[in-house]
Amino acid sequence: MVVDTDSSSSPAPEAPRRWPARVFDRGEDPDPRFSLANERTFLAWIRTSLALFAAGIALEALNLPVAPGLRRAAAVVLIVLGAAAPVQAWIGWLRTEAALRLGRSLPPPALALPLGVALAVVGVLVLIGLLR
Amino acid sequence: MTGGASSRWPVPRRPARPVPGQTTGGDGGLQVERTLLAWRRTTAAVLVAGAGGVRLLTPLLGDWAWLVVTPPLGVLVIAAAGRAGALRRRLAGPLRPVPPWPGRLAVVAGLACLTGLAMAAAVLIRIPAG
Repeated sequence: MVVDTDSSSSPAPEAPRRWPARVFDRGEDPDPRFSLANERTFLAWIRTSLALFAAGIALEALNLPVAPGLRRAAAVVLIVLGAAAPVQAWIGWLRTEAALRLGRSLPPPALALPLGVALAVVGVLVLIGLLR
Repeated sequence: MTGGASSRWPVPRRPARPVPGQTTGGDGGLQVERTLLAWRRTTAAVLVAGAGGVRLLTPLLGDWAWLVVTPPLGVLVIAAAGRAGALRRRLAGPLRPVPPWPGRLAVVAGLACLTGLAMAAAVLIRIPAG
């Protein structure tokens, strides 16, 4: 049996489409180091999310000596941030991977500033709650 | 003293010549190893969070705490183990492209969000604000 391996006589096999198409249908595969760094950033956001959820839940569940209303407010802020962090992780990974494939400059993390401001607010709430 | 074979100190190897389709840097293996360790750190953090979650939720939910925490964490750990295994297999040899697994990343992000919200909701509902 003879197998025709001449690529000029038959069309090249099309590479399987990868999901999500809006990232992988554009540009070309970047240096693997950059993709791996992007993946590590994704994981760092996931760990940040876990820490934020843990802080919010612990604030309520451990019955800390903080004024209850302020304690609840601080916990809710932390939990909302904890829920937003995986969204940032996923969207940030998509945007960064797309930018890498297209050779564009990297997008800034959209949640960085809100996260910093909200953590400062939580710190102030807990401090006031402790002093009351 | 030269850096030859008789040297007491290990001499760093020169990076290999660039090969098309491969990284041009000399730390290709370290990149894979770093990412592998990042997955393991995340898995450890997930397990610790799960254990803490069960501990905190058991007084509030009873045996339901296990049901809230265990299935999503199991999926998370399986997803992480699969990716870590793929990376571990790339550790030997030069760095070849390691295709990202966006579906797995989406599952990890979604489950982290939903599990955290479920645990938080249980705590906030069961513990009165006042």
